[in-house]
Amino acid sequence: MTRIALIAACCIAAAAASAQVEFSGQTAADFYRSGATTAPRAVDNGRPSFGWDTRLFFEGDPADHVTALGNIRATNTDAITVDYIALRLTDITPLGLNIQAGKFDLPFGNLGERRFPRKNFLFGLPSIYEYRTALPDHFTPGSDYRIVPERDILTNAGKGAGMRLLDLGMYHTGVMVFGSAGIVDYAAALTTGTVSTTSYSTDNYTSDLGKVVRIAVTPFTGLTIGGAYDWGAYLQSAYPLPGNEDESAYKERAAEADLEFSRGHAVFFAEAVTSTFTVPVTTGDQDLRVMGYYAEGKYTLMPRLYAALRVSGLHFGNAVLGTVAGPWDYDIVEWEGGLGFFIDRDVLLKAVRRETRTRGGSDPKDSLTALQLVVAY
Amino acid sequence: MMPTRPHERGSASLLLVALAFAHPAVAQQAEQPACAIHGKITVTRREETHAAPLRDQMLGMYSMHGAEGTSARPGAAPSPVHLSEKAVVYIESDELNRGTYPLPSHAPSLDQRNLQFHPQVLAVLVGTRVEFPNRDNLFHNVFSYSQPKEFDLGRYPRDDSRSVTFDRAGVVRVYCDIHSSMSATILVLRHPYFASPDDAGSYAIGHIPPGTYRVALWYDRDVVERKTIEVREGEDVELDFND
Repeated sequence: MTRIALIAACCIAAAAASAQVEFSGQTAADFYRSGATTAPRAVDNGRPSFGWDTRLFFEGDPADHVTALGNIRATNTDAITVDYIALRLTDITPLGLNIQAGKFDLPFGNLGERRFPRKNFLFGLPSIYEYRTALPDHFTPGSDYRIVPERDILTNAGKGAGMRLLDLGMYHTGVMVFGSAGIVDYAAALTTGTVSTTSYSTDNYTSDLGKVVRIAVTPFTGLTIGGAYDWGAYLQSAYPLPGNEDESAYKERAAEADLEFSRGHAVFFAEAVTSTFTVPVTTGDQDLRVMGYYAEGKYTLMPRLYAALRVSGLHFGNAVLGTVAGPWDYDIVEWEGGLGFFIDRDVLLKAVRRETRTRGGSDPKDSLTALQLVVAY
Repeated sequence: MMPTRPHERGSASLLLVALAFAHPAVAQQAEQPACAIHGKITVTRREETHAAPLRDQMLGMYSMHGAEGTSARPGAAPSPVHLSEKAVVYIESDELNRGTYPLPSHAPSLDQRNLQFHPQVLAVLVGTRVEFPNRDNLFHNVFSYSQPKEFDLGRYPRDDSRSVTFDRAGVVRVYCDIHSSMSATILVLRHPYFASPDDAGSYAIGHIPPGTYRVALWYDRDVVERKTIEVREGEDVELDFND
């Protein structure tokens, strides 16, 4: 965190030196109420709640072809967080190659600006970005060589307390090369972790780096098809592993495909992700597999007013954990629908209803109703 | 944002005078004893920076991987916007507002080109149909929530166009839903006595009936100067604006 703050200060100072720093932001105020259940997606045990979310963006150009970029987030549940702080060198070769270093969003998927309330059609992110699986994200050392006790996974099933498949906005520290050639966009990055570990792995606990590559093709305006692959170590514990192996021996491998299509008043996005975590447990290394997806669309009904619909879900593979064989977490399917009304160009009011169904657990049904007011400035 | 171009002295454009006189409404007035207003606009103020223009460049950091293929890639710079595209001189007159005028035979257009609207200020006679052609190799989504005309044209590809008829007078702010730095203003006027300057700042409004009028200079987002003049039969009026 100290390093991030230092980088942020350097970038701001460098940009400010040229007196070319521009700021903008957006703030969302929410009212929401979930079902009074213990389901993973329930909020505040069903009590009606208020929340807020503020994002501040800055950009400065300390020199030609050099840009300092930043994004700071503050919410009612999180402390102030520097999500994005990077220096970008653009058009540095005749090929138009760009290089970026710092903390940035991984080139994985097509979430783009929809991670922010102003461009998000609905409330919250698709479940593949938000739902916490049963795989613990902070491992408690067991006796002997165990680093991931089976019971931690088994008792976590359906609790929504572990690692996310795609960790919110997926910000990591690293370096990225990106560019485009004709209808093809490409990116490759080296980072301190994987797509599932971005919340806590600002520092690297392993001798490995996360690797991400992405390629996207836009055959014609309005259609973009992309794919990405991410692999690297995801464990962060410093406790000894079987055979004194390094944590880097245990990998996450994630692949995704995504699609964007828009025309007229309709916009459609979809993404499918599959990930495998190699986990050291007492019964031997296990590959925990999970597949996730979402599809969402928006249709502008008339000026100011749109309707949006989203379906997302997670499907968990089988594993042998102790004496238990079967899916390592409960599958979920989530439907979300809503209306958005632009009070003004930069003021958006959303009303959203979400229904979540879990295959198993004590509370397989859950719902959430939300109102959100977003102001961009 | 965009530095104002230095104005070239002594290069008054006859083109705009010709265009103004070629307007059907003005041609109809040609039989009346009418005069012209002409002059030069000099804009010396530093242009204001709005919060919006850089917004999608900033958020562009999230759309550089091919996702949201509708967004500009890093390094894509908006094209320059000249004085001729940001200024309009028009007459404010209740008497002229009460007149009836034929519509232009050709629909004026507000282009979407190089991530900018061209022009950024467009004056039209009420009832005029305006074309919105997309000249970029990406989508735009032109919309307005202004009282005189609310519309949302959706997304359409390069060299395609949509049109809107502006049937109520007033100020219409136009934006792109995808690229928030893009904005333009359409002034829907009840009479055709308006003109855009050339890049040197010269303008002319022709065939104005004699009378006393208030003349406004609209620059960028608002009226920046108003002047009162008297137009006499057979005499042209020279009116400069220095903002």
